[in-house]
Amino acid sequence: MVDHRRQWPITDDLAALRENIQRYAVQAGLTGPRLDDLVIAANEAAINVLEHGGGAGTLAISCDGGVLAVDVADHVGVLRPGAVPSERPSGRGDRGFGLWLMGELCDSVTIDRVPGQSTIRLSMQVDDGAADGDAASLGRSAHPV
Amino acid sequence: MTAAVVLTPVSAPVADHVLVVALDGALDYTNAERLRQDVEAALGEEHRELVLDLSGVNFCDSTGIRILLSVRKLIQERNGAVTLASLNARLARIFRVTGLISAFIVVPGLAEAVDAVSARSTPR
Repeated sequence: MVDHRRQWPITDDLAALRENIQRYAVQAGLTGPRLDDLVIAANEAAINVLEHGGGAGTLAISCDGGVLAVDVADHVGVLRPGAVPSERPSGRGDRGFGLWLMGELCDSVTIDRVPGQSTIRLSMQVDDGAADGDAASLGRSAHPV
Repeated sequence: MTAAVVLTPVSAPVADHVLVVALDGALDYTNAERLRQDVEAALGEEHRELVLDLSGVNFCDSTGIRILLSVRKLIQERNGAVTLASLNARLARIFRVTGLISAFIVVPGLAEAVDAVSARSTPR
């Protein structure tokens, strides 16, 4: 179990970023289809930054109280809270399609905006039935992996 | 940049108008445009059916799907279809969630893909 926050820059090395996310999420107890969903959603958030969010940003991942959170921040700050469409946009090229997809894949998607920075938070509840048992309580006393 | 997806022609018992290609790698925003160019370069004038063996593809994002849709458009203009074989769980998931799985003929493996294109090519 990991409960410390990790952070990586968003660059065009998306394969390495996905590996980092997957490694952390697996250690946090996320498995199977929900692990796939988080990796797909986090990748979509990262490509949103590359495509529409100024081309640079950071991705941070943390786990607290059984909730795995991925925070994807750009250095532009145009994206506003409430921008996640509830229905699938018809155009696949716009930013809304990726946001809609994240909403379909994750337990929750929220957007926080301050001047010069928008942050998308993707949240996934970690299954209590994970292999490492009561991961949330064990995690705090365990050594970081 | 994610390493380019590698295209390998596959010899399969199909008619001359069918191109069968195996893809290997991860298909994402950074290399999808390259794949479009490579697939278009591999397509001969005689090809109006395309089979993609995706057993070696471990990831595909929305950009990758967009590129596959543009390849599909090209094939549809030739009155053909794109058949996708051997999607892993992660690929199947994004194709299903986006609803775009219905834009392609999706089969479990290469043998089924060969059967599918052969059945479509048989004159009625």
